[in-house]
Amino acid sequence: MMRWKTVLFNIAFALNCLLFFLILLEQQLQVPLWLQVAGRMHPLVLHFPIVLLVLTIFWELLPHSEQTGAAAKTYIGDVLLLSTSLSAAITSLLGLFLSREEGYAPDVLLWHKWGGVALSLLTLVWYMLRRQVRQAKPLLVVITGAGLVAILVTGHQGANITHGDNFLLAPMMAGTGQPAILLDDAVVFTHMVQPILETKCTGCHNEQKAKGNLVMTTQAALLKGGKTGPLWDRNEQDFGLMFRRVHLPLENKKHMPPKGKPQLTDEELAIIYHWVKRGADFSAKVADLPATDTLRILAGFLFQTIETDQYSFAAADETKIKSLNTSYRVISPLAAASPALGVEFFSAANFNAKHLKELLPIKEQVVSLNLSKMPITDADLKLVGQFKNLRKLNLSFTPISGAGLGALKDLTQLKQLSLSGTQVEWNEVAPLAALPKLSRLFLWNTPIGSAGIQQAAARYPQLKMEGGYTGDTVVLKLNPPLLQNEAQIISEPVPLQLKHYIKGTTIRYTTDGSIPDSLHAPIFTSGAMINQSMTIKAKAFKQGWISSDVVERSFYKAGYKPDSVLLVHPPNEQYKGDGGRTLFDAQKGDQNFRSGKWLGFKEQPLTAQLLFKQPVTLSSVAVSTLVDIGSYIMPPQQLEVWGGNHPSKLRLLGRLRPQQPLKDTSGYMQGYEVLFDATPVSVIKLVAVPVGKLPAWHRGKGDKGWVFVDEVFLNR
Amino acid sequence: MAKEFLEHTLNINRRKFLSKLSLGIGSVALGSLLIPDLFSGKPDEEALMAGLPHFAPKAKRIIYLFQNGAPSQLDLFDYKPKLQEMFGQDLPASIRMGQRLTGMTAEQEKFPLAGSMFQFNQYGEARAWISELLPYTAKVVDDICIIKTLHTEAINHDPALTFFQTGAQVGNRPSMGAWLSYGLGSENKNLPAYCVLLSKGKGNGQGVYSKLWTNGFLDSVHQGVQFSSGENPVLYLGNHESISTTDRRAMLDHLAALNEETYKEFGDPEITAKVQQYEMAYRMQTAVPEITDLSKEPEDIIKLYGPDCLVPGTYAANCLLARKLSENGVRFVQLYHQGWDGHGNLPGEIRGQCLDTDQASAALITDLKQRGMLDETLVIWGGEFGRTNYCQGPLAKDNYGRDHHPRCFTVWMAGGGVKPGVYGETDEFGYNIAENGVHVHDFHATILHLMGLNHEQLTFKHLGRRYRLTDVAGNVVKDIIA
Repeated sequence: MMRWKTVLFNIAFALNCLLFFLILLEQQLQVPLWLQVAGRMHPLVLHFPIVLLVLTIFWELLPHSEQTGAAAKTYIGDVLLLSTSLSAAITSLLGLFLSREEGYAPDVLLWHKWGGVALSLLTLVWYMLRRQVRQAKPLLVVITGAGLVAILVTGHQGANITHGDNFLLAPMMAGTGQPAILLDDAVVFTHMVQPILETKCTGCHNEQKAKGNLVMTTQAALLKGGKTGPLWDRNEQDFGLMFRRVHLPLENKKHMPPKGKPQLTDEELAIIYHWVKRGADFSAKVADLPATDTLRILAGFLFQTIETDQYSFAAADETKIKSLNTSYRVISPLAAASPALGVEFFSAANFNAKHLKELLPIKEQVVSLNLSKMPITDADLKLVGQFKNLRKLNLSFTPISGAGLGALKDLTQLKQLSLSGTQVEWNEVAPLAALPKLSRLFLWNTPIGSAGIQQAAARYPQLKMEGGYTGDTVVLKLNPPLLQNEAQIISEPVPLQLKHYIKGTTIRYTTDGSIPDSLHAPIFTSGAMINQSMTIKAKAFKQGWISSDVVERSFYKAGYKPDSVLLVHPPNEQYKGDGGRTLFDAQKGDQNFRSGKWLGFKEQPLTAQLLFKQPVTLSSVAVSTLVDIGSYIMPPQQLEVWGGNHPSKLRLLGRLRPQQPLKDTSGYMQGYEVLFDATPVSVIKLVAVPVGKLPAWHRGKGDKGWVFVDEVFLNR
Repeated sequence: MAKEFLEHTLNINRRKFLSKLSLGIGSVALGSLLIPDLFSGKPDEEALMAGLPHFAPKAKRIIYLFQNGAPSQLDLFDYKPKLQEMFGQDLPASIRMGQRLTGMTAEQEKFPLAGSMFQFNQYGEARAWISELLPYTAKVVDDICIIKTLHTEAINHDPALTFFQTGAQVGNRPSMGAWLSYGLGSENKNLPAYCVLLSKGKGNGQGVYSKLWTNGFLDSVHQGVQFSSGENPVLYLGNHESISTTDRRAMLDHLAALNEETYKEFGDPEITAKVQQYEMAYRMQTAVPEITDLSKEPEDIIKLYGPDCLVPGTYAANCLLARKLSENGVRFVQLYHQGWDGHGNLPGEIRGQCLDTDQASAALITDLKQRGMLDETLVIWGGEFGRTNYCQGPLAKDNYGRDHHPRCFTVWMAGGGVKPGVYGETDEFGYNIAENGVHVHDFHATILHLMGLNHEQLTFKHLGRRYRLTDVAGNVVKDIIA
């Protein structure tokens, strides 16, 4: 047993000697290929000495108890220490072989290499002096401490070489201490390309570990390229080596980044590609790119454009903000955790200038202020002028005069100012146009006018001025007046109610079926009455507008009601209402022909016999019909009124052929009145014939049309 | 008893303590792995919901001009000369690829391609194709971003509308406006954060119903408030004629005092919430009439929106009202305009619909812009799906109908940090997406992003799981963000 330990110790001793020897002659060292394979086992083997050393330290520091026995403890301690020493020596040796491969810069290896060698020697010496060390407690503490320090330093340095600088703490460092970049300040290379290289490339291509002799950390190194040549060549169709490697299939050995490492996303690839395509300029700024440039578009998502981050001031006290918030003055941060505040005032009736003054304690933080429509004065503008960090100010439709605008000249951060609807003149606004950051100015509905804005725009090309819409030269058609009389059947005279929503319009109307003209048709006044069956046609007129379409509605005077109604042909099953009674129930239908208030006829004409027990004298029969061309409902082709004293002895009293529409229009209701000489009758026969063939322009041309009737009025 | 105490002390010896400790530390470690932010000291998402955006928003408010019934993209924005070339020919099976159709045309023997009868021209810097039906929209083309490749999963109106509004085809999820009210709170404490305005065109209409502006499982303060067109825009807001404003004030003060006493006794936060609601309703009594009064608008504005803008209940009036609400800090104004469901007689109907909406939609953009509000207001125009390239019913050069088409349709956005231009391309038949499709979930994610909200973080826990507007999908369409 002892011999076995002696053999191992001798091997460890020999390896340490070899290590020492090779270190001294390092520059001459030529590693044969098979040993290179062994050297590459270094990252595997190194875990043994680490674990064993920690175990050993732990074991040696453990107070030994009587039960386990000092002998057993010493024995296990010896074995642990010896294995540590042996594995440390082997690891150091293999590490030395690996370090001779290309790609490891000597200066970075320094600490790692000497740390490893020191550790190897330390454990060997410790093993040799183990008995003395165990006797002297202070010595034990010193040597375990030294071992621990050595393994930490060496291990950490080694990991930095493999995984990249600061690998260990990177996740905690990320996002802290890095000032957010504004789109306006961003440089394409520094802020878009380099961060990608740093996360995806420089782990292997850095000064310490320049795989393929390629370093990607600096401008010069990037331009230089690696051992296979420069990274990119814009003269080649695929832009050269780097893009070829990146686009190789993942399984390919030469694909970059190598399989297993984080890959480039499509977006990242696009950024690098377009950067190279634009000439791989190291100093170009994002803001200088045209808005349609792909890089510029991609940049839009990387950088906080404005707002959030450019604020150098501290957040205001939260309770202060809360106490200033009222129903009519709303203060809110632009976003969660943003120090910047936006303030909006609502309800002019509740506004008081002191509400503005109360904001002064948070004037630093307010970046957006909306005073639109509030009754503020020029004196209040002096207060506004103290909000030094304002970016956006809305003063539209306030009663300010231009004279007070001078108070705003210190708002150097101001980007957007709305003065729409105020009485400001250009010479008063002009001093503000020179504010360094002002980029948009809203001047709609001001005395400046579009001509003034055009002149000003020429002087301040960086300033975008909105003149807005002016309707002076626009001539539009008025909408028709509103005919508010709903009831179309009148039993007593009612006032005619016409209305137009636009102020200053004149409504003219007719009762005789003619179209109202702008000169002769009577002007509507509130005294007009509807006192008989008539069709009102009304039209609106106003200076500077095209006169409106005609609105029309027929009114019917409720007249005689027959004692019974006999329908010779039944109406269509779907639209039969309440039979003949429907025609005299004083219920006008609307445009919905399915409402049950309409009788519909297609195959056979409406033929109704209206019977009176006592003869009446009549001179007019009016029929109210529906026209809905899309639904094949047309005016009747012919209306006939027959009368007499007995159903078998009737004579034709009157006949009407209503005019048929000539094109598709929306639905309407139309009354037709058949007039005849006053005749005493006991029976009236009314015939309304549907259109036999729909006209050629109709989509159902050739088909039969419908006739829909809701009411019939009999008058003298 | 002494025995139990002894047992208890014996049970907590050093060994037990250490082994239990290891278990405890282990579970804490596991917890920190599963919930990464557990020990980061960051507030959790519920705490984030204090009505603040997650990051600096581009847009503060939204006006959503919902074109209810689905306008035909092929007659308005998606110009396809190929359809004119192949007019009346059958839709090739290679394009249709056996995709689902509605019950209305699935039985059709043929699917004759119907090219639009309307003229298209190119406008603006983006040279966007816009049909003659939209002359006013064409004038503001440099301010809008036309997305030609929206696509949805639903093929019928109700599920498609519900999907657009709530991110799910079935009901009872919160509407987009409710989510925004929940995530960002109300700007103006005197008005609801979510207002709804309805109007009706003459074309074939489809219903709108209050489930579209529901708060779902969110608190009911986030529900959309419908403004009606009559004398009382907000129902039950006005005082009864027998009660004067001073009486109302006195009543509320006394009520608040009573509530305050109860609050001191029970400490129920619902009580203060209720008092605040009463107070808001009181303030709305003055704020709402002030806003809904359109009579003081100058003649320029009337010409801008068109004369209909003073007629209550019209689309134009609602657009004007939407601007006023937005101006007064309403977070989300939702318009619905009915009448776009052109199954038959489409050219006639769409002409009428465009006459009713084109000028006012464009006017809204111009108006917001001239007031310096467009950059912070996101305007969205669009329907719940598109319409087919083939004809439903009889086909003529100047008359045709189109069925529902969910695979690609056009929506436009303006202002609010959206980059003007044209995004996405459909195939030459206007049937499938050729590139850059935008799913409804993507659309929602993008809108939330513009409002400063991370759509994956805007969640609400309900029935044991966290819900999002975007369900478990959605990507922000970064290409359309300025």
